Amino acid sequence: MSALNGRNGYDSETEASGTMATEAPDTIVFSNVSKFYGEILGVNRVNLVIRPGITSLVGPNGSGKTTLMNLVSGLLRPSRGTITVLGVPVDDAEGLGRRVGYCTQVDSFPPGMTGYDFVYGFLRVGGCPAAEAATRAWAAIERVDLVDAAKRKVAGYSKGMRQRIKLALAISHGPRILVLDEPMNGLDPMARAEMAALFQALAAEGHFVIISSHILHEVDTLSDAVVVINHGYVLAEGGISNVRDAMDAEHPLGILIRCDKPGQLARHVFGHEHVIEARVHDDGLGLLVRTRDSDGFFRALGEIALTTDLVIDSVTPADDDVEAVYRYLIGGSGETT
Amino acid sequence: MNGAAIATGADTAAGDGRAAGGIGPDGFASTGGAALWGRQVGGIVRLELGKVLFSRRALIGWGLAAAPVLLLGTRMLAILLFGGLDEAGRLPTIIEEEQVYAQVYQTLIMRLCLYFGCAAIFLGLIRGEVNDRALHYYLLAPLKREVLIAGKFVGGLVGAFTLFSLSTLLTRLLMLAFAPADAARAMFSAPWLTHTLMYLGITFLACLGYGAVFLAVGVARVNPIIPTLILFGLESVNIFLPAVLKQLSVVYYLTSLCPVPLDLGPIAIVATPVAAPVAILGLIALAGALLAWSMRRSRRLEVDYGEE
Repeated sequence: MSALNGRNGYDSETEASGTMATEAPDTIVFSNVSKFYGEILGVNRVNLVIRPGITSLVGPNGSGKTTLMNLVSGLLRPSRGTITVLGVPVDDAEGLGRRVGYCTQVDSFPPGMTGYDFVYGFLRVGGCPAAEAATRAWAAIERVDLVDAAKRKVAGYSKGMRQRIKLALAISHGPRILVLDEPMNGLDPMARAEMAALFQALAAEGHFVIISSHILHEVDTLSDAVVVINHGYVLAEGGISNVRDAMDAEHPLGILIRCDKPGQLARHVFGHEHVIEARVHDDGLGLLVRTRDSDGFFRALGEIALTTDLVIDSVTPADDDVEAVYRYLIGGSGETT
Repeated sequence: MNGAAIATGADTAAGDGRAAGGIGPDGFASTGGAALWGRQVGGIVRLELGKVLFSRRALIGWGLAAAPVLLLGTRMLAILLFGGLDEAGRLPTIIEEEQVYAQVYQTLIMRLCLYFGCAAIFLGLIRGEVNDRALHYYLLAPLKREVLIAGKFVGGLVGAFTLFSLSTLLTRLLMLAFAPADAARAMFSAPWLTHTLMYLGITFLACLGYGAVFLAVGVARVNPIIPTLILFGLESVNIFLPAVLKQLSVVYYLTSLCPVPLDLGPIAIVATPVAAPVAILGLIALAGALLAWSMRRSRRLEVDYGEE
């Protein structure tokens, strides 16, 4: 097979003759993966399938989030089990490097480098020709809005600038998968919003964006899927609403109904067999209901609205977000972790 | 963030790195695997030379390379200030100075400066990156671990040889200053030039052999102090070891190549020097074997940041 530089700027011949000559599945698959640091557990028996879009890893400090990310990016090797990234095993360093861009939490850089050198040098190490490396380095730096500071030493960067240059490094070679460990740390609100928009744009382009964050409301807004992890075990995974639905039996869903006569509504909903709690909201303008059968309740509420003179302004789930999932599965608010 | 478009691999085929044949969508010409590896090694060497020659870490290497120059420079100054005539009232000849140089080279330069200089440089290739928490920068790049190790080794070798060949050349030139009467003539004489080239060759082989040893120690991710000191001890007592054990050291082969043999004294166990081709091939083979081991071992390299 003749060789060429792939779209990520690196020659693809060596790979074309290797494992990637076959059709690659469009998933990241953990099969019974465990990682131990000596006798200390990193993660244990993880079975996980990650699909394109934004997937957030949620869990307290030391839960195993960074271990999972390091495993996906090949910085760690699983003690047991297998991981394939778009069909490539993680011990194929070259194949993995083409597909994965990793913005680590580690805030150290090769000494003496400017922001531009940091990205350009990485591309050259990967074998990108000089002119192409320069073009790609500037494009990545421009995308994270750091052009003005690119020729300054990274050592003099603020925390937010260092986050941006690490992100530029991660996207510089056009990887399909972005692994971002606490990427919003140190960013001001405007930059956070811009960064979130960038992640969503990348996800819309078909990328895998794997994020760990302890800012749960941001995770909630951004994520297509969450992986809740604690003490090295994956507690739940999937779309946030699916994960929440699976918890209905143990943690009944809360629903806030804004209406003009919450007391009257309470009398009606208590007739529904799955409602286990109904109380008037503190502001007196709504009713908070807990139910084990959200679908059945919504049907019943429709009938109540049709057969009574109640004016219902809004119906919103009160605890089907990541924060609630986190609270129920792990405990605490999550914001402090 | 800026919305400027870049190739982010959204195209599955390209993003997955699968070859499509011909010229890539980014307009690159086709090149073979060897060309790619060459560029990758070049990229690594470029970064390593900056560290080995121009970073804070480089100070140890520069210091060790400068030590013999300073020693011989001080000696020259002393002779100029206090006189260097012997009892017969004559300056040393170039032949006598070759003996002095052999002492300086084989004891100070080869056994101390080159040894510890290579330890500092080649241990820094992997272990230094771990200490700087920067190894992930290389491990995340899309290249084979074997190519990474080869690039690091070549970078260290070029850097170490640059430092110590400069040191060797300067000390050889300083040597001439002790025999001013013969200097101009001697400089262009066959022995001086030949010996200088031989010392440069030995310096290169020392960088190659010790470099491969210390790279392997770095890749093994063990505490480097203990193996470095044990090896130093073995290399230092080499002259007292039986002939069979001598062959297990790097310094034995390097010494065999030296143009001027030293009088090692009455308690040294003298072994017949090995033939030059055997010494050269032996050192190259040793370096090759250790490099191959390091490459293989590098597949198991991990970075644990312990950040959670």
